[in-house]
Amino acid sequence: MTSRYLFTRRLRAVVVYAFLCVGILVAVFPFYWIVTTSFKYSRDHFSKPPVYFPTDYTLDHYDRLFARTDVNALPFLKNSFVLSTFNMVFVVAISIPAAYALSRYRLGGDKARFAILTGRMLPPVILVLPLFLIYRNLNLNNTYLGLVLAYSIFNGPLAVWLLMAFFEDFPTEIIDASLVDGSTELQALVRIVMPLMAPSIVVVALFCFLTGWNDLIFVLTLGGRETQTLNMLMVNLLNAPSNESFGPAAATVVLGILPPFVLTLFMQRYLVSGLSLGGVKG
Amino acid sequence: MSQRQIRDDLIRAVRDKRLDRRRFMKRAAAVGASSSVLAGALPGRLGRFAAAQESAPPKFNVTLQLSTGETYPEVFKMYADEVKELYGVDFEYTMTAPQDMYQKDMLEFAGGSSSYDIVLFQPAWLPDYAPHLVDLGALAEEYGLNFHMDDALDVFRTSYTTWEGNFVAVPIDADQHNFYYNKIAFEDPRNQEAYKAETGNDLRVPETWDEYVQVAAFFNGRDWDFDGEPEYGVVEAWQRGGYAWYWWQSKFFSYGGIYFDEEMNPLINSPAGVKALEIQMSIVDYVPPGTANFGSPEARNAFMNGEAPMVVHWTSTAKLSKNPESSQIVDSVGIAMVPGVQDGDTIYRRPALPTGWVAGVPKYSSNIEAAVRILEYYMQPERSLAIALNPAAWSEPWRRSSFDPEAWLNQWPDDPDYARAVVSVMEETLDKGVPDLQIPGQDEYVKVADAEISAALTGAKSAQQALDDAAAEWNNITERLGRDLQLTYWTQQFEALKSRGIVYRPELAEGGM
Amino acid sequence: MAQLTVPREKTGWQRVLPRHWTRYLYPAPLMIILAALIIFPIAYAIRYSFYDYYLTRGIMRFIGLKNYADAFRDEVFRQAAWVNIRIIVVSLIAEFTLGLLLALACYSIKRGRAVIVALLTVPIMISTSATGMAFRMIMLPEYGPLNYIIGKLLGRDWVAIDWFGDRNWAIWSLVIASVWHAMPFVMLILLAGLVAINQELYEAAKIDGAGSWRLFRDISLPLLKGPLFVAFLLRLIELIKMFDLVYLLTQGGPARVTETMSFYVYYVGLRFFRVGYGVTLSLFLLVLTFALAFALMQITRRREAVA
Repeated sequence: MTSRYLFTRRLRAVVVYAFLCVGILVAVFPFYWIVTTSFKYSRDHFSKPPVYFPTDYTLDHYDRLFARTDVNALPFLKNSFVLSTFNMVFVVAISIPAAYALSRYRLGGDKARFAILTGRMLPPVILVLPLFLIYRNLNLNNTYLGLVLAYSIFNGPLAVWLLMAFFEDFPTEIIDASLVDGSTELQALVRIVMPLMAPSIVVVALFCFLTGWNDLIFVLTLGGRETQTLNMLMVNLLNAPSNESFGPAAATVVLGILPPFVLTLFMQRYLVSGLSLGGVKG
Repeated sequence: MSQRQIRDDLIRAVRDKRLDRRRFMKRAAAVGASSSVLAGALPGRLGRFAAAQESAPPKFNVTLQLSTGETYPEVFKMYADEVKELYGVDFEYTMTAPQDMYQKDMLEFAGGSSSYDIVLFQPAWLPDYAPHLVDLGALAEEYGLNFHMDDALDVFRTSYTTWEGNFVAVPIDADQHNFYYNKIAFEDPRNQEAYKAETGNDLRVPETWDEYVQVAAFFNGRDWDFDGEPEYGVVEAWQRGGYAWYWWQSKFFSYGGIYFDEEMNPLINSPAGVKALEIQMSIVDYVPPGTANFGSPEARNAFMNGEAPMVVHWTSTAKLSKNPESSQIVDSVGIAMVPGVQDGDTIYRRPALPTGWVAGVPKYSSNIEAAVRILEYYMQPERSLAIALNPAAWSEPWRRSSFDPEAWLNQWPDDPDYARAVVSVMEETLDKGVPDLQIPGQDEYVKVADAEISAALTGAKSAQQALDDAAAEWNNITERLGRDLQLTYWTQQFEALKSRGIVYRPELAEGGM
Repeated sequence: MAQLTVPREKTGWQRVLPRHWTRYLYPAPLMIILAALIIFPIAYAIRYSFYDYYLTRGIMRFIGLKNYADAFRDEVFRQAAWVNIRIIVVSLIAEFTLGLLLALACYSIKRGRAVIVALLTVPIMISTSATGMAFRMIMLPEYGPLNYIIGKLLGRDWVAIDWFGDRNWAIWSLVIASVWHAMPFVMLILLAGLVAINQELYEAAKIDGAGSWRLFRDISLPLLKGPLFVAFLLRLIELIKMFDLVYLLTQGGPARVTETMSFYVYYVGLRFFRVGYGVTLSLFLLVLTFALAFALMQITRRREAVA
């Protein structure tokens, strides 16, 4: 009896681990493929069967990205960083007070929540075309400001949604106590609530950063030469009809993955609450 | 050392792969004046331009922004050092994917601006670009420049560089489709015997589209290069974004088709169009997997890797397939005219001249004069030839003087027959070839037709149905853009085609298969 | 809170403004920006929807409701909606089956859970564009590893699947890429849900002699409803918007079989520059999104009422 029980338990464990291993293989393989592609010689990109474990590695593709002969990744990299950072700071700055008021006083009630959810759901493509026309009149196409504003349409609701969930968990007694002590509401928010919620705010900030970092459609349509991001460089290289561009394209992807990768590792423990947009609360 | 010796040394160095082309140009510049070495080296048709030299041009000290794609930065890099010295001009390149270029430029132009001082674009987009470009003719007069357009083949003066009488663009790459084949497949007696036994005909490089299909069927699944593995019959490129359309065009024109009749009713769904599409559909089973999503490099690779015995492709393939770094069939490449259709005793050939690239200067540039002068510098005939010969640039010749057989013999010293064939095929193709549709909204017309052609190729629609749908949509586009206006533009192209003998010939598609 | 402060006489502005009017200042910047960036564009869209407006040609003609009439009859748009629906249904089923299985597997193991979860969530760290890029390379028919791997599994060298070019397979390339990208996300949310379930419930049920299937059906599943719903909602939102993957993998081809609604609108408006018609189609998409958001809101509310 006991031995049979042990046996089935063992068997089950083996099956479970095997399943997980397959899952891990599937999850990691494309990542592995991109990274190795960026280090493979070009001839290995087009071999049959494909080269799974390259023996020769090269830094040529990275060299080419920064060699300034035909491609120069630096301005793209800079634009990505500048846009994502501005967008992050801007969105967090306007979202904190908004989320605070919405969750503490339930301003607007369900309607506000509905508006935010809708904002989160809007397909960007709906706004891109009219925004282009408006920006054209305001000379905002191909500017940082234009893109940061455009990102805030989708980041704003995201940030508020996340922050509201965090604020709702925040014990109101602390705020009330400080109000009794004579500080104003704004002072309470800045001096008491924000420091205590710093970890949550950091998570939200990082999500905003990533949304900007990963954007494609806005930079594709509202951006231009001065505001091209790393994603655009990748698209350009990938669609260039030359075999030589596979390596550099993969190298661009690796560069593009690095910041999200580091950031995600850093905020691993906030990942679930963040990804579900604090939405377990509905 | 005489100039002749220097030139020979350099050419030998290139041949021995000690120098790549770019360095060749630099070395040539270091030895003397590169242009004069080259001009001296290339007698004949070029000789008369040798004297053309700039008189102390102004210095600009600016960085010009270039919107380019593919391998065209290579063109500008060739003389970047000289230009820096002469004009104080640097280049900065922005590489946009070709399929995104039109959109990017249009978005900027629509806002009355441009990030670039020189834009590369396809001549087919001229109607949409021209209003935003400076008039090179007028400026050439003002600055005393000479673009030597009298040395250009007709098609490049009439349809590729001028719009409504204004000279607004210069050719960078004169695209044309040629026919490439693998000599092992066609010349090995074993294949020839098997073909004879199977079809009763002699195996030869296909002259007509019917033969093209027949030969493809024969080679498909056969180990025609005797490496122990079966190969495919043919390869084309049908990727979304125009390729299916490009590869359909040559067939369509050979069957006597042109885009519209003189009242602007689409002819793409005429018997010529249907016949062309049926030809294309009948090779679906003979092409390598993935062809439906092949762009230019994939199709070329399939040919150069020895997977397909023949391919219709751009002239850059003539250079690349002879380069051992990119090609495995260096010794067995053959070039011929794109197949045609039997027309009495002759073959009626109308190869397509798909895309091509030209360069213009946007009105909104703040460095117009520098940009125009730089373009003129690059447009000097000896440089045009050097550009056409540079394998890294993928640029094809468009000047009469560039078809100097001497120069091309130097390109492949060990295979003079091939060199001669390349020159004659190129010249004949440009002579007979049909340029892309050139009316406003061309991009939309082509994308629509392209999508419908792929629909037929993937088996979703019959040829007739697909082309009928495309034609209906073409009419819608015409209505939306204003039929009268479009007709005026089309008439321009219609007359230009007619003057080169290209007219609708319904009888060609009627003849039996 | 407010009741703790001493009530004072209302003076000046306080009489006009609502009580606690300062509260409304907090969300003001965000709301103003969102309003400006959402309402103005929509107003613009509505205006131009009555015009035949070609950006590149400078043609702008008032044509009344023709764009709307065209949009209603537009088969391509309907087809695009159908593409979206198919992608949504198949992706959601795949993501949730796999996500749930992985979550249960992770939950059931004791050793190495943290490492395994970290490895399984690698896709989350990769952007959609990078995902598209990776699959562009992996799915190359002749040079990409996928066809060789599938071949190996079937005991052959290679299978000839043309992932982006074959009309029957192209949509699957989108589904596979999107499932790969989203599965870990679903798994994480469900795993968090599982972890939150009180162990005592299981212990009690085991004492009652319940088997593992019954444990799952009667305890895990009902308690996972919340997280399942959230994950479902978020995935649905993303799938409706689907653009990046289409742009990178198929460009809507071959022959439009993978054109999603977002991609079609983009193509009409920003490739062909038919602005008038493009914005009309966006308005349709907008109404659709609103309806869906509203429906989801209703469901959420009902769910909360039940809970």
